Amino acid sequence: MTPPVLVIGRGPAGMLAASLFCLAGVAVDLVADGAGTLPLWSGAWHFRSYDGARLLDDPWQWWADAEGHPYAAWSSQQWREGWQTLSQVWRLAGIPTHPLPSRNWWTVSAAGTPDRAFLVPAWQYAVPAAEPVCLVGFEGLADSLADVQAVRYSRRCNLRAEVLALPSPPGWDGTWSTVRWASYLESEPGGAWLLEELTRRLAGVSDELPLLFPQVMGIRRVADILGAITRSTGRRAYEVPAPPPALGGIRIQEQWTRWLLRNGARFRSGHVDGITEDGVTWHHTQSLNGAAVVNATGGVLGGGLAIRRDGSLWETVAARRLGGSSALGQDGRVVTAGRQLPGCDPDRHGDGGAVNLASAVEAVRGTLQRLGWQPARSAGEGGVGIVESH
Amino acid sequence: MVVVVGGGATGLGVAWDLVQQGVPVTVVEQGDLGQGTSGRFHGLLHSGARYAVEDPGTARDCWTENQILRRIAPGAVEATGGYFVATAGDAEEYEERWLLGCQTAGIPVRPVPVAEARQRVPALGGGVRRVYGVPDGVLEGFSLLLGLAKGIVAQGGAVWPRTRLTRVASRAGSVSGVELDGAGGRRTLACSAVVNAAGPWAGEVSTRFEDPIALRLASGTMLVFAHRQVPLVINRLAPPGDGDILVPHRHVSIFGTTDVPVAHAGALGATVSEVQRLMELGGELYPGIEQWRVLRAFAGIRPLFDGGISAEGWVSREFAVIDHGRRGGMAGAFSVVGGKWTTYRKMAQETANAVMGYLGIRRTADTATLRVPLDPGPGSADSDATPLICECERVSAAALARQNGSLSERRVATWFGMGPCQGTFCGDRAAQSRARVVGVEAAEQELAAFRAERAKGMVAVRWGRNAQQEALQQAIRWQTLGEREERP
Amino acid sequence: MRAGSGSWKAIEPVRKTQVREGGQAMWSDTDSCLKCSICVAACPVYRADPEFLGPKALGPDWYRLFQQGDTRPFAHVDDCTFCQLCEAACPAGVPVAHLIALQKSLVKRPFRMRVRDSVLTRPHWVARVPGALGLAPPALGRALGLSASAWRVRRRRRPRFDPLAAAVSARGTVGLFVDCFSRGYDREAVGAARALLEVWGFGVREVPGQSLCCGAAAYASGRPAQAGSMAKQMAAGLARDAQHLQWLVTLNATCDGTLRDEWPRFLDAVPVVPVRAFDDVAAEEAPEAFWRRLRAGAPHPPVALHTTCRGKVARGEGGLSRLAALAGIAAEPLDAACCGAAGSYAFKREHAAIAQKMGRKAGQAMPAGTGGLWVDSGTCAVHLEEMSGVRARHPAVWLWEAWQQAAHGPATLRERE
Repeated sequence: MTPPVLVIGRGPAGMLAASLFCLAGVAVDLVADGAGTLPLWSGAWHFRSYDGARLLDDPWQWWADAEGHPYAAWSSQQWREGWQTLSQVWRLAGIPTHPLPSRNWWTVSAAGTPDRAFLVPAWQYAVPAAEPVCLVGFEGLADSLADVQAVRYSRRCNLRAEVLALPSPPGWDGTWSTVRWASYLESEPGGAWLLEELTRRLAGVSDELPLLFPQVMGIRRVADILGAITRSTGRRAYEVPAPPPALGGIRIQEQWTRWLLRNGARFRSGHVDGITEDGVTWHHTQSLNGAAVVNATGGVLGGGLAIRRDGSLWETVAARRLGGSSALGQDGRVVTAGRQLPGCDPDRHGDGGAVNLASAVEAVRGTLQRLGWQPARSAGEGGVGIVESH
Repeated sequence: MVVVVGGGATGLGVAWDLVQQGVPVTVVEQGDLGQGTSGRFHGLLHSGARYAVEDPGTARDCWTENQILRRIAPGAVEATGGYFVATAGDAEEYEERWLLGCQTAGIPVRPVPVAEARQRVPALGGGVRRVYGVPDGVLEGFSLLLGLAKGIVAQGGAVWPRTRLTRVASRAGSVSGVELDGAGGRRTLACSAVVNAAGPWAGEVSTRFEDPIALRLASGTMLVFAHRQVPLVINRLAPPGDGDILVPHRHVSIFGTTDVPVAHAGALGATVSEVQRLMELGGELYPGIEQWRVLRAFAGIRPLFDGGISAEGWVSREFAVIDHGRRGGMAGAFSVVGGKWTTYRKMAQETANAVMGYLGIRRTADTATLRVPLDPGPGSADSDATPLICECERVSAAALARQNGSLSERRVATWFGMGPCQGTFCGDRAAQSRARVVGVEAAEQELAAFRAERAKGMVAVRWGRNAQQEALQQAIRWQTLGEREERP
Repeated sequence: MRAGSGSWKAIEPVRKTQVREGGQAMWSDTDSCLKCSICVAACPVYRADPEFLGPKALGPDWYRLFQQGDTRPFAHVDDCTFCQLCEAACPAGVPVAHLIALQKSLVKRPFRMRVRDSVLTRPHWVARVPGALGLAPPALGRALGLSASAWRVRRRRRPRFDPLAAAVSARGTVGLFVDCFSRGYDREAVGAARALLEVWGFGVREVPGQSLCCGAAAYASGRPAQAGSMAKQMAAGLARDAQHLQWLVTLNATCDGTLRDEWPRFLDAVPVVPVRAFDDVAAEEAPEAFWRRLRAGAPHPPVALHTTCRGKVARGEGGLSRLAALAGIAAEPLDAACCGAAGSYAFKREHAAIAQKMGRKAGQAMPAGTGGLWVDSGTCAVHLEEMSGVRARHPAVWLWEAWQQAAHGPATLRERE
């Protein structure tokens, strides 16, 4: 029996790579010691949102002129196919998104400042051009003070930002995290409380403004809740990201995990210590066979990377790869995917999504090619270009 | 009016002493209170045993003051006790001299069976040969500083942070006033005496008295570990040296220090090489130290008075009060240099005595018996109904709002942002509530200063979990919170 | 497919446990929390129980205070089911669930609750007299703080199987680890697993020979010291009864995780031979002919699969899907993290409401038309069956039934193929 491909890491890059293997009909095991970083982020993927001084409108243009970036050679066609692939995977997994834009969407950060993102989950506020907004705040949700966010928004965008202040719900106390808020708001009494407070206090807000809520509008039922708000108020209703635990990422993680499981992927818990000829070693001494290894440990949080006191990298899977001091992976047997690739600084450049996407696609493409495997089945409705191109 | 230059322990101590005697006082501090050496120590309330061999006078003073501080500032002292630990490699001959020194200084020393010590302090390694218990403690320095400042103001004195002394005016060779530059602009203040308690900046301040004094400045780096790794203070039973003190400070542990001569008082900042040295030294006593989660490193400048240098190169921790008038400088100008945090009160009292002698005033109150008005310690009032701002140190929105000043000052008063996440998650949260008071722009400036200060402490300790934390912090700041420098 | 160079070397492992002098394993990373709150996102109780503070506050946040000398437990710490999903989710290796268990050990409980817990944390006692529970009047249970579901547990009998199969043991003898619950109440799963192993060509010995407990229930109830001594007794029992066996097969994901992960790290015990979970053994050891026969058998109604929380923690998820696929049975993973049964958790009266809430949620996730539920733990199966009305059994039972159906009566592989 041919062993499965091993994907190490359960963050966005690992999940995407595993999905592409699944779609190609290749058995895949996701091996990880941890849940991955999805619960840290709202779920929007960035293409390229910052040029070093200003937020970028047109990421296509930036990539066309890029130099020195690991994915500078990717053509517009490749990017287009890549983004379509990801949005199709998400659609199959039941994660709704805004359509892929021709230029970056305007979004709002957790702090209330403008941001630009590319593939944005449907629950998150995203528009083609900045507009006046109404920020909704809940008393007691300390990370999202709507009045402060509104000042930040209008100062950065030169646009009106109104505020709708809602009280804290019955039973609230100072220990509530975003997950607790979301659990409450998607409960029956929580939903009723919200609509009642909204209708009572909405009168002061200008008619046409979209309502931007902090990202606590339910865990599984976000679409129902936002839909109910729109039905009862006649306004567009969206979320703005909040710091972790981030509901957007949690929703995506749950849907995506479930889809992978239903499509035959296996999730295996354990710490990978090293790479051998036949796969990896894990749980200190045991070995796990794999036809190929995709290392998507994300570099830092995913646990693959450890930095020693003298600044050198500990000999973990990611360190071997990222340190560049090892022969590991030179024959292409082990490929790395994830945002912490050498030559990238996604935090500063707002291209973490693009790096995750391109590296996962390349990892899967390269692995299939090297193993001489043809996709066993079509990639599902609409087709997934990357996989089908083989 | 007496002007005291320096808002650290000594300066505030001098002012506290003087206001008790009815002398009007103004303290000027160039930065925030305790921003110099007083805020950058390991938090050890010395029993004096550390100096029993090399510095008997300081040892004696420490023990006396240790007992006084337990009485006058019980809320700022945690009476943990301390161990002196000798390893197989440490000389027995030194141990004998040390025991004798402690006896001479009157410091109570109790032999502790090694097995008992290792049970109480599992972090200790296997090479321990001998353990003694001493009455060391932990001093919550900022609580005491803030208490002194509050007491001074309550009794009619003034404390002006972020105010620099630019000139000392004199009439007929005697101090007549000072020129100050601060938040409120330039101003002059008439006074009859000036006390220079500027710590590492004392040399610079003394030039304004036409009688410069020489200080020996040494930088000491300390490491903060995330948890309380030991239940009491651990000293190494060997001649004072680098990396010989580990102090459990609230939820964290502080390990220090190093001793690197520096030229300027402004040369603050822990270096990678000093951090590495500390980790190596620490490993000798605590084999698990490599696995401890380091949070940050910081450095303080020891202002040692060059007058007290011994034949062996040991610079005494004894202090000196200098009456510049008697040395040919301005009359009414005094400097107090050297000493230890633990002995600040005695230094302050002797300085106040000198000033009062000059002014012809008689001592009427004794600070050795006078309680310092302390606020309840940080985090002690966290059970209110407002949201938690800082989850690591359990600081609520209400607790943060009760304090004064900028985010950085509130950090000092409440410990918010000082835990494992180093402000990753609470920084913007606090800035948002601050924005409601001072406006968004000012709050963002305060946030930037807070971030810069926290980041500075993480630079030299980027390894292990702290490297993960730093990467997480950067991602949260830049991506989730959009804290990027956007230029129009 | 292989790399040509042949120069790969196993890489020095990053040690999860650090060993204190004297050989005692001790905790590491208790101070490593990054405050990322990924554990909060993973906690099933936090979503069901509005009073529960969550794993970050109860684990690493509390432990910092504890180390400072404040040993007071937080409110509602007992509501933790010890599913350990928080700990598995942590990117910094913090033993979150075990810190919470330490905190539970500091809770002062009323006398009657302690009496009850001293029984519930020793399920091997209960397993010796499984009928005793049903004999006692329910009022006594209420007085002792037992939930109604503790009274509804029924014993399931060992299925009939062909004794011929037992004769074929060409592949050596393996141990079937009989956990307390299976010993007392689920002889059906034990019998089915034994029959299957024998069909696959193994000789089987049920171990340990007497009723012992690995310590899982005691640890979950905040009795780590008791768990330690129980683990050592069990380890001694296994050393006596299993030392010449190839490996052990576990039927209960909780015991499996306890033996393999918790024993060495937290309880200072080691199983004498390797431990393998039933679904791994089935997928890796059952001959291809076995699966062919199952696939050729009559079509089966679609089933739902529940990998219990402890199974997810110890090994992951997807193993049951693999078995169902090998057997040619359409299967859907159940969309639930933890069903709320959590060993003896649901048997405690103070937890009944939360356990029911979590169980109902899991029950609601059951796809329509499900013909059965595969669960890799006996207690969870009882709970889920009660909550969903769908027959829930260990995969061994399902496979054995499918095998009998396919074989049209008892027969060994060798005879037929």
